[in-house]
Amino acid sequence: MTQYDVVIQYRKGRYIIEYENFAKEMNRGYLQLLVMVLLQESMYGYQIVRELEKRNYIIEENTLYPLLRRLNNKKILQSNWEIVEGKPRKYYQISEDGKKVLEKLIDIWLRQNQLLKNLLGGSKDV
Amino acid sequence: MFKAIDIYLNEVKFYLVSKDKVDILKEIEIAILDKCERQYGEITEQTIEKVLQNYGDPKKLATQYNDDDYHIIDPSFKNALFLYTGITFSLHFLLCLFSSLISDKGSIYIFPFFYIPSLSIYELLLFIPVILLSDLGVVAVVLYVLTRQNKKISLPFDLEKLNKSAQKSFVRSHNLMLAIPKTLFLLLLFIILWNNNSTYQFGKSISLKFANLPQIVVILFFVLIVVELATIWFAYFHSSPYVHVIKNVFHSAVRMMIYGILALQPYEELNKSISSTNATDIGYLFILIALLSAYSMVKNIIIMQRIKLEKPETNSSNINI
Repeated sequence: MTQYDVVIQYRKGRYIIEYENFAKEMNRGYLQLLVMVLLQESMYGYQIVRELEKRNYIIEENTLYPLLRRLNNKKILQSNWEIVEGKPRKYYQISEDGKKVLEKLIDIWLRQNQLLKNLLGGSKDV
Repeated sequence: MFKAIDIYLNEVKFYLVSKDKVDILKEIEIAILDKCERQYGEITEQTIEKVLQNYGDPKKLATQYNDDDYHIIDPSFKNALFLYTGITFSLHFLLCLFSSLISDKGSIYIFPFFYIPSLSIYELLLFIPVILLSDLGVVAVVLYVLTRQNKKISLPFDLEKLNKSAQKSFVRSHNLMLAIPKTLFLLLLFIILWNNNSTYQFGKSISLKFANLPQIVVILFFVLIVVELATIWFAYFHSSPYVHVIKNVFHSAVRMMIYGILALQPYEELNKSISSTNATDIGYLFILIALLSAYSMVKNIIIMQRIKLEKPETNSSNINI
C-alpha cells in the first residue's frame, strides 16, 4: 500500500481504493481547463509541458498529447504542423468555439470552487 | 527510422483505434526524438531505448489516444446483443432440431448462404456451442454496422413496438369473429384426422401415415389440438393481460409442436401426386409455420419480461363484436 492509498471500510468487507485513480480522474478535467487557458497563444506539446512546469504543475508528455488530440478532435483546439529549426512541430491553439466553451467552463469551475469552500468551511450559505 | 522506435510505434499502432493513426504516430515519434535530444544531447539507438523505457506501455498510451466515443458496438446495443442472440439462437436451434428430426429429407437450405445440417441428436448437442457462437457473431456484425452508420435506429422488439403488439394481440384474442373461425378450423382438422387419419388437399386424399411416428407422438398431436382450442377460449373469457401473454407463449409453443409434427410426415407421396405442378415440399411449409410460431413464442416471452402490461384503453365489451 502506498502513502496515497485510501482505505474504505464497508460493513463486513474491506475495500482498498487507490488514491491515484481518483486523482487522475479529477485531474483530467482540470488539466483540460489549464491547457485551454494556456493555449490562448499557439504552442507545441513540449512548450506546454514547460510552461506548466514553470508553474509547478508536472505533467507527462504521454498524458498531454492524447489530451491535446481529444480537444483538437472536438474542435476546442485548432492545430497545424510547422517546420521549426528543421524539425516538424505540431502547434495547438484554442479555437473561437473553444473560447466560448472555456468561458462557460471557468464559470462552472469558479462556482464549484466556491461551493466546495463553503461546504468545507461549514457554511450553509451557498 | 530507429529500430527501437519502430517496434514501439508498431505496438502502439496495433492498439490504436482512431482515424488519425498516421498523424498520431508521427506526433509520438517526434515527441520521443525530442525528449531523447533534450535528455541525452544525441539521438542514438541506446538513448532512444532509455527514453522508451520511461515513455510508458504502448497499449496504455494507445488507449489514451482512442476516441472516447469510438465503440465497435454502441454501448446502448449491449442488451440488444444478448437479446437478439437469444432470439436468433432459439430459432436457429429449432431449425437444427427439425432438420435432425427429418433427417431422411436431408439438410435444410433456405438461401444459398443459409445451411442447416441434418445431424443426429447426439451430434446436435455437440453442435449447440457452434450455433450459439455463430449467432452471436452474426448479431454482433449487424450491430457493428448499425453503430458505424451512427443513425438513430429503432430496433425490433423495442418497448413501444412490444407494447403495441401486446395490446393488438389482446384485442385480437377477445374478438369473437377471430375465435370462432380458429375453433372451427381446429375442430375440422381434429375430426378429419381422427376419422380418416388422412387429409384432403388439392383434390386428393393424402394419408398422414402416423404409423411412422411413435404412438405417444400421435396421441400428443391430438391432445395439442384440444389444448390449442382450450387456450383460445380461455383467453377469450379472461381479461387479465398477464394471463393473456402467458396464454400466447403457451399457444405459440403448442402451435409450434403441432406444425412440427405435421412437418415430420412423409410428403413425398403428396408431391408425387401433384407432380404436374412441381409442388413445393409441404413439410417445409409446416416448418416455416412452426418457426413463425417459435418467433411468436420468443416475442411473447420478451413481452412477459419487459412490459408492464395493461389492458388496452378500449372497453373490452366493445371489442367482442
